[in-house]
Amino acid sequence: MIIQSHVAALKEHLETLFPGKWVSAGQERKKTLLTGVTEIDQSLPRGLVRQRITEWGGSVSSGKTTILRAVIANWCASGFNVAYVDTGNKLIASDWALVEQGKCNTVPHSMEVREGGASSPGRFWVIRPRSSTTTSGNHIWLSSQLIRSNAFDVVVLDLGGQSASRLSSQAYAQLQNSLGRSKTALIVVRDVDTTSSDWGCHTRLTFCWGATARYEAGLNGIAMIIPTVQCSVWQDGLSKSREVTLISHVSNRLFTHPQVPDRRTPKA
Amino acid sequence: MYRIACLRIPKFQIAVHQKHEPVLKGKPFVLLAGGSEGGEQASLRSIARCGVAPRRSTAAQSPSAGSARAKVFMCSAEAYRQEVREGMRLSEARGVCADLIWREYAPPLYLDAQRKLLRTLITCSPKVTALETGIFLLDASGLKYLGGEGQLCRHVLKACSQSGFTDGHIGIANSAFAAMVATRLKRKRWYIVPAEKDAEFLAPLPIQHLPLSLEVLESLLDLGIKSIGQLTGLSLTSLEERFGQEGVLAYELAHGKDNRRPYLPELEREFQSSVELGGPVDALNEILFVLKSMLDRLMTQLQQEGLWAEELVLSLYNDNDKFDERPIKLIRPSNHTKFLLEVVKLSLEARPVKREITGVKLAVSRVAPESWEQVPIDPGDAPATLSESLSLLLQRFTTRLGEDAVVRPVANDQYFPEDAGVWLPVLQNAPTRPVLPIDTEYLNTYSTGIGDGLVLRSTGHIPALMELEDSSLVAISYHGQWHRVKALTVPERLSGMWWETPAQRSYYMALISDEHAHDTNNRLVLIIRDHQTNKWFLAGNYD
Repeated sequence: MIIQSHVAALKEHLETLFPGKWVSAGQERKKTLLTGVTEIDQSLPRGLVRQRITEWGGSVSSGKTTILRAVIANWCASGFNVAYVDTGNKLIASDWALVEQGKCNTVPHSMEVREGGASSPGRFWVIRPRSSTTTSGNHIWLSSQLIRSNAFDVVVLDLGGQSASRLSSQAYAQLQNSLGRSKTALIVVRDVDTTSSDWGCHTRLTFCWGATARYEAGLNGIAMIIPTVQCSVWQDGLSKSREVTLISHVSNRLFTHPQVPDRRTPKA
Repeated sequence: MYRIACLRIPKFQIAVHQKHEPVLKGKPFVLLAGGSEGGEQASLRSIARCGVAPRRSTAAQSPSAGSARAKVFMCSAEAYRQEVREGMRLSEARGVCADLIWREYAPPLYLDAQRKLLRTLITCSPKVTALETGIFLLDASGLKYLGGEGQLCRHVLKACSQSGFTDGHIGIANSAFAAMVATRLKRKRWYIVPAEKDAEFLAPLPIQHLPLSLEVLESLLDLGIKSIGQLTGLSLTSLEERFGQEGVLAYELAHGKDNRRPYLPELEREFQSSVELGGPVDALNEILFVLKSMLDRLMTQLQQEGLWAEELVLSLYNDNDKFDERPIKLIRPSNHTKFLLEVVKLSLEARPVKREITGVKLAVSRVAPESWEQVPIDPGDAPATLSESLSLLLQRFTTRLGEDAVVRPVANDQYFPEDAGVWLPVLQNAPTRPVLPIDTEYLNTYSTGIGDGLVLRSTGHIPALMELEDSSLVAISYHGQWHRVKALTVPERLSGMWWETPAQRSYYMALISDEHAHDTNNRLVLIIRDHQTNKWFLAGNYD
């Protein structure tokens, strides 16, 4: 809380120097796709750019999806509609169940909490194509359709670690064409190990685990491992690196012996 | 220590009119506020808010302005000498001064003059802000090696004179309020309040300098509080209880606490593009070809700024002679090149160009922030309530991918983590699988969540081999590769479902790294031990 108040004071000071970028409330701010993560928003003061492609990359396990979930929850709380194309059917429903309500278990420490939020929270839809239809062309078609529907503020195309995760120039042109006719921002999530992927995205965010990790102690040992996330933002030829500290809910059941469930499990 | 300079130009509006029409100099001249009661009040209100009054003609005396109901808002020194006073009706003012000249209050004119003066003042200080009409704040810090604060005052007054405003007063203090009061006081052109002495400077002055409503002011005078110093002697709590926020503000200002600061002026961006053609052109297609590239460029700029065009101005030239200028007003703002090109084309077809063109200038004269509104998704999610475009989208998806392709996550109050959430098709009102709703009130109250903290990306159940040392895991092998276990949580042991398919599992979160890789290439994974089959699996990566 002390850090947040310091940040607020600093923002007010910066607002006096550079008005219109730090402390702004009301409709203008709501229309901007700010992530809510201070470390990222400082590098992207105007938020994610609509009608453009943003790459959200990192290695297989790097914290990128955890940060993305917190950002999506923030957007939903602000009334933005988000569609997620899960090409590999890798997401677990329980991790995302409270996203529409603006909640998630792990959030960056610096995440700005939306007070009050939007009158009607945004929708979070997930498109999970069957494995038989998971071709690269199909994913591009899905994303284009979602973009052209003019219903979603953000479309997330999660390519995962597929061999064809690098967009072809044809696919890029198709997506860019659809984005040009819409008001949507497209995020392409990719499992990439290197940051040297220059394929025409407008903004690139890359993630990896930070050097430090916090170990939540339980009764008999470590109950939870909560690492920090190193985030690099690249835009307009400039690259900035920040470290994002996560705070996580740790289930009570990890501290004590699990109790006998007091509810009936329905039959499948 | 922050120092603020305040520049006040008395009767700024009068000075602007006299600068605009030099013939008014030395003549008895008044500004009128509103021809009707409602209009007058609106004007006065907006004047108080620094000039957002209803737009009126800036032209000379109009019949409406000359109506008997209009009142004098401000008068020149010559008019004052002839007994004209603010608040008089125009008929009264003309009764006491037969040569009286009047003009309507014209906020756009003052704003324009203010903007131009602001640009000039930037040469004196990098941070300049227009606080009210005719009142400017300037940053006066760090002038020790630049001639001091007196030198700044001389520079500012010189810049004002060069801009046509010869009457200006400057005050310098630590707070904006004290600096503003300093401009009102002395007969000198500038007054510098010593550093950190704002409260002492303000103490002997009457409380009329404070921004108080008439009611509060009268109350304070009735209580015998006549000077700002007497006000500072009162306690903040009692002032707050008696006068609310107004009392608190007065108390803070009296102590020299004022958050208003000058800041860097915003850049004024102009969106315009001009092209000189190699030779004379008169065919519509050729003109449109040029206009398309100009619109492309302009719209890209607007989109980058998140703006829409509200009005375009197309100017056509023939050898430096602007023979045609046509404003194109848009009913709805837009930044789509194709649409705007069509509008421009229609304008050119409706009013054809009569001469050959050698140059074109296209400007976006008015812009508006883009509204990023999308098609709403009805909370009901019933097909009948969805918009047509969304229904068509879902129809395409269900036909190509199946009915359960478009889903939303729903929490399911179940024991095993795998069952704690289910994917429900968005168009399915009654789920095929029963879902036990979770107690969201409990979650809201205790700020808790469901599932693990980090997001798990499932890999399916990949068989794994474990290396144990003293009953603890030290390495894991899957897909034929060994990984060192750097940290491991205590297992979450769950068992149940004995009445259906008995399950007994232990869930571990492990931080692993490649055997031969350096430390930064860590992975967080979920490892499951199935006690029924006594096998180990890698279930997913935490990402």
